[in-house]
This record gives sequence, structure tokens and C-alpha cells, in this order.
Amino acid sequence: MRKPGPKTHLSVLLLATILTILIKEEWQVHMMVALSVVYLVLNHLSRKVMPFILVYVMSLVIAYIMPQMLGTMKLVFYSFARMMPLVMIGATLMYSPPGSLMCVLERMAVPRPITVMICVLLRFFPVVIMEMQAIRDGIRARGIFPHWYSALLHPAMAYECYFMPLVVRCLKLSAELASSAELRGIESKCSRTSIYPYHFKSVDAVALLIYIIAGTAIYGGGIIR
Amino acid sequence: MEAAVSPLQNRWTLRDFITLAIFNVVMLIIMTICPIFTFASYLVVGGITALLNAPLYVVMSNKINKRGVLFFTSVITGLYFIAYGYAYFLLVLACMGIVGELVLWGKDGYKNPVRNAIAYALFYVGYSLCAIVPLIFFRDAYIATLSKSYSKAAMDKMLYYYSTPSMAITMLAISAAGGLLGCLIGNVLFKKHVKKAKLA
Repeated sequence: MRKPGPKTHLSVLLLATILTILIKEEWQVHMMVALSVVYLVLNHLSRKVMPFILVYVMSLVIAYIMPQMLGTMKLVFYSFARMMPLVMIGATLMYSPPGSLMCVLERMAVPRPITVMICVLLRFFPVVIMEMQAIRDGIRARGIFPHWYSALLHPAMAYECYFMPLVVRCLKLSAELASSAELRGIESKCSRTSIYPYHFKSVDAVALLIYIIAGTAIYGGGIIR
Repeated sequence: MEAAVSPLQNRWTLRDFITLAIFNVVMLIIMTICPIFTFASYLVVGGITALLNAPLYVVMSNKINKRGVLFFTSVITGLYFIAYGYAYFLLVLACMGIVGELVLWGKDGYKNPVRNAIAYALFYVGYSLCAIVPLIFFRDAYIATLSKSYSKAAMDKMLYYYSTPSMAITMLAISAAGGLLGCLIGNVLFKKHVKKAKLA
């Protein structure tokens, strides 16, 4: 069976964003997560479901058991748990081929720079986190901060040792990505084509309809209660 | 008199957009982690976030050096917080982004360390204002949302910081100071490492 395309993912993401802002009750968030699980399964991403559920449960548990002195951090975990339906829908976009996403956005008359920015923002979160871990491992391997508390003893040095490699990596990444994109003709004025299916078909309509009905039921349930 | 900026000089290339997006991803990750500093005090979160993000901002703004870097950064940050359900962040940050752009108006505004630091500090004043603005305009709805994740005591403590004028002003001042100090350090690091290596 054909999977729903990027147009559907974008529409569902928009609906999910509106619903996340509108819903107030906790059970509604649970239902939204369940609905997102169904959407992920529909998109043949069953393997990704479990980690998302684990992160969702852990965020809720941490938000509840975290000491009140951590204030805003508690709110961050709670907000992150609330945001999980969006992350899950966003994952379908992250796992869509960038070419199809760019093609769809271009046909929706989104300016090309914005299209490129959306693709970079969606796909670079995991890359940047990996870069941060690599810098931390590099610092440890060189024995600069041998103990976990060493960075606390020399905060200025830690700041420089951590942020400068990060800045340089970001500069290198942006230069490499821009060169690669230019080489592949990103600035070409021709209309973009894609080898991946991106037209709105019946499967997209069904997926969108299911999401709208279920989303309305979740929102309506909150009003009735 | 300041020379007029040619339209060509200010035209954004795709390379600039990619640079902006990548640096913003890192800045957003840091912004997400920084609320952990509430264990010290609610007052310092904005300041510490500004301090940590400043080297990234200084390098990004010097590398791109086109009108709109701060405004786009504000909009991306606002859109990120919409995903958390805080739609007013976009409005507040976009307004502060426009004010920041006015500070940077003219030729090579981003290359001028003082103006760049002031605009960046204003952006973080806006970031801290995001916690105060909803308490002014939609207090009841905001408190109802927060009460789901806070106990009564924690909520009172938080409201004390965000709704007491003296505390709010202190928080904004710390954010501004963090932004200015961060830009100062950022400029030193920029000259010491990035400029010397001719990376920007």
C-alpha cells in the first residue's frame, strides 16, 4: 500500500499544532499520542513508535517526580511530553526523502530559501546533537577534563573548549551543505521534479480524514467533559 | 554620514539561509537545555541562555552580515516555541527582532560589535519577557496551564518572580547583561579563532 505523502504530513502537522494549543486535559494529550502512533504505523514507521512512547512516558514521569526547585525545567519536561504528538508527526517528515518534501513545498509556492531552511531545521537536530556528543568525547579522549567536575572548576576554559569546536563544526557543516546543494542545482530556476510520489491520492485523503475525525473527537471530548 | 546599503549587498543567498538554519538549530538546543538553571534562580535563566548562545550568534551574524539575521532568528525561535504550545512567544520575539533590526539598521550593522551586542541583548530581553507577557495579558488562562505541572508552592514562587515588577526588571537586566557579556566574549573568541582561521 502507498504511504501518505509529504503534503498529508504537512497538513496533519498543522492540525496537530492547532490541536496541541487547544487541548487542555491530560487524557487528551494521551489520545493525541495514540493517534500519532496510528499515523506512524500507517506510514510504515512502526519501529520508531516504541522509542517515542518511551520518551513520552519518561518525560511525564520526570516532570512528576522532579523536585519543585527545578522550576522551569519541570515545565520543559511537561511541555516536551505535550509536544510529543508533534514530534511524532514531524518524524514522518524527517523520514520522508528531502527531495519529495522540497518538491511539495515548491509546488505549494513556498519560497525556495524557506523550503531549504525547513529541510535543514528538520533534518539537522539529530546531526547537531551527534556533533555535540563528538566534541564531548573528543575533550574526554584528550584528557582535558578528566573528571565530571573538572569543567566546573575551570568554567571559562570549558566554555571555550566546548563552544569553539561547535562553532567551527557549524561553519564547516553549513559550507559543505551549501556547496553540496549548489552542486546539485538547488539554485536552478527550473521547476523541481521528484522520483518519489508526492501527488495527493486517495490514501492521503483517507489518512487526513481519519486524523480530522479523531482530532475533532479528542477536542470535542474535552469540551463535553 | 552613513553610506546607503546596496540592495545586492543585502540579498540573501541560499548559503546564508543554510548557515542561519544550522546555527539556529544549535541555539534552539541550548535554549531547551538552559531552563535547568532554574535550580539556581528563575532570574538567571535568560542571562545564562544569552551568555551561552552569544558566540554562536556573533559568528553567525558576522558570517551572514545581511539585514534580517536577528529578525529571522527571532521568528525561528518563536515558531519553535509554538510547537510547545506557547504561541505568544512568536509575537513577542518577532517584535523584539524588529527592534533589534532597527538598532542594526545601516551599513555593516552586524559587523559593529557594540550595535550587534545591544540588538542581541534586546532579543534576550524579549525572550525573558515571554514569561512575563502572558501574565499581564492572559493571566488566568496561563496560570491554569501552569497549574497542571506545578504545585501550589512552586507556582507561588514562580509568580513571585514573574509578576513582581522589581523581580521582573532584575530578570530583564540579567538577560541584557548576559547578552552583552556573551557578545563581548563571543567577539573575543571570534577574533581569536574564527577570523584568524579565515572561516568567516
